Amino acid sequence: MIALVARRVGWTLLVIWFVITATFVMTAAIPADPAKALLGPHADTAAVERVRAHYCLDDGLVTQYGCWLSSVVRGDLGESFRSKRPVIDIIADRIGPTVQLALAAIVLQLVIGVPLGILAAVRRGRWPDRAATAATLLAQSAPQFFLGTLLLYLFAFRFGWFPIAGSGSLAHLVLPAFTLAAVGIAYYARVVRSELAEALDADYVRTARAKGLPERTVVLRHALRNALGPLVTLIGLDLGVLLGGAVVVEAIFAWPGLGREVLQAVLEVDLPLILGTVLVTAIAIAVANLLSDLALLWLDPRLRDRR
Amino acid sequence: MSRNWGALAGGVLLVLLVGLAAVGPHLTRDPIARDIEHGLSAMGAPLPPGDGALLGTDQLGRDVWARLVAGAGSSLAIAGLATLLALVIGLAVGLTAGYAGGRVDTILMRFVDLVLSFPFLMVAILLAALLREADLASSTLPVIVTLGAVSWTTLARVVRAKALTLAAADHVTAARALGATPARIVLRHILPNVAGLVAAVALLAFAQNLLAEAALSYLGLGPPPPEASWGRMLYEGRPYYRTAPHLVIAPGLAIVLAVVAFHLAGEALRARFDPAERLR
Repeated sequence: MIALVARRVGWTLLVIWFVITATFVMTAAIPADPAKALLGPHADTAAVERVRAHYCLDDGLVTQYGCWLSSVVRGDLGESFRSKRPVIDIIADRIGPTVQLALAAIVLQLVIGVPLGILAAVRRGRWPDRAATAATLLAQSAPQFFLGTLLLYLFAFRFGWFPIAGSGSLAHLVLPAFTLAAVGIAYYARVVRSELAEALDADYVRTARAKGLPERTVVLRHALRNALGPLVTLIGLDLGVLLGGAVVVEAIFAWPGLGREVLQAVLEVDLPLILGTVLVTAIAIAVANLLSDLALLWLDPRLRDRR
Repeated sequence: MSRNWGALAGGVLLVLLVGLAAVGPHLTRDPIARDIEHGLSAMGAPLPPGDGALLGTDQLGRDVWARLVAGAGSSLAIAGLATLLALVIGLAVGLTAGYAGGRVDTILMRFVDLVLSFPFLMVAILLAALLREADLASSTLPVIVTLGAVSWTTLARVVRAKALTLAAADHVTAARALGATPARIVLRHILPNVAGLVAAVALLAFAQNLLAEAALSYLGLGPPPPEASWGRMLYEGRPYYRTAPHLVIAPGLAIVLAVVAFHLAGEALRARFDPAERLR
């Protein structure tokens, strides 16, 4: 058990190291002066010199790599060339609303996706199942910005049920959170359906039914509990999808989070900020995956015996 | 029964789509020509669908239907080339890992896990921004390379799983006994047997790349103007969504239809070549 946890933590550290290294390789591999790329086209010579010194760009690749590694580990992600503020401070300022949005999306995915999956599994092959499959395909095929703009047009502009943009109240949160959650709702429904369908065919479910338990108890107490394991892993993995999707959703709904900051950085080619955000989100995701794996280990004793 | 129906619908949609992209541009108006005189209303607003232009015009008086058809070409070409790149990487990694097995397999698959631990869209944004800094900014190449570089992992995993079982198959053992080189075994005896499954997964990756291209375009990291990719059309039409919703709805629906088509076709092929693999 302890060995298992240790191995899992070790893997997370490896992932974090890989993320830092991969971003270094990407910046080193582009056929342009990294200092100029980091500072944008209008940087003065003194600023370029400063960046070259900061990342040891005048030394060999190995020293450069060491510089990069040590500054990232110290939490020094450089300076945004646009606002001249440390990247880490900007991220700290803006991550709150994005996390709020992501959490709201996860809640929606669970509250809508799971019951939908249960319904489809219990009525396998009949119309609720077919309808859920079709809805899943559609939700997975609609680009977020299309869905978001459509919702915005209908429910904010045409019907006026929700505010058009901005943040501050629960009403502001509804449309962006739903846009962000749509794919996940469909995906959760699919996973719950297939896992629950499998569990419902298991021997212990037959035993439970044979004991004369009501179907409701059989499905919800016996089968569902065993079918929800993969969902815990999914929630961890989802954070990456949600943080990425937040870039698009925040742009549509003018949500003042990290995603909009990244978009602005993209438009102004503010590479330190983009690089820093990628690093921070990748590390956050690695940690979230670790936590969800540990939670699963705690919830499902069967997994503890493996290797 | 319902699966056959889905496969048929997907196949027909695919043929229509590719046909449209190939033949369509010869039948429509010029997708780039701005027609300020006839293409805009007296107030200078985009024309709604119907009078004059089938799907209306955009903010520059360009014909939306013509741009949609031209966009089919460029969106499919970008997603297609990206999928091709992903296919090359995925096949190389998957076949090597699956055939070699052992430590090589472990290392390569761990590497795939590492790549998967990156948030897809975030990396795509970073790569596209970096590649734009290089001197490729004026072409579609950055988008293609970005999408290819992040979408090969699923292919590698599927190919590896199949190659792993094939490597132990009798006909491969026989070929090895006859003295065939590893390269020959992989290319002649394993590759043909994974081809069907690879085609299926490639179609699904194609769908994913179509969506990702649109997302990148929407963020301003797609192909440069005046290229009429669907994502770019959405991006340009977005400020006018209140007064001219057709500028958003037309390209949006086109993307949904195309992605559904590739999905249905891919799932059908996958069910045909890999019945054991549960559909995700």
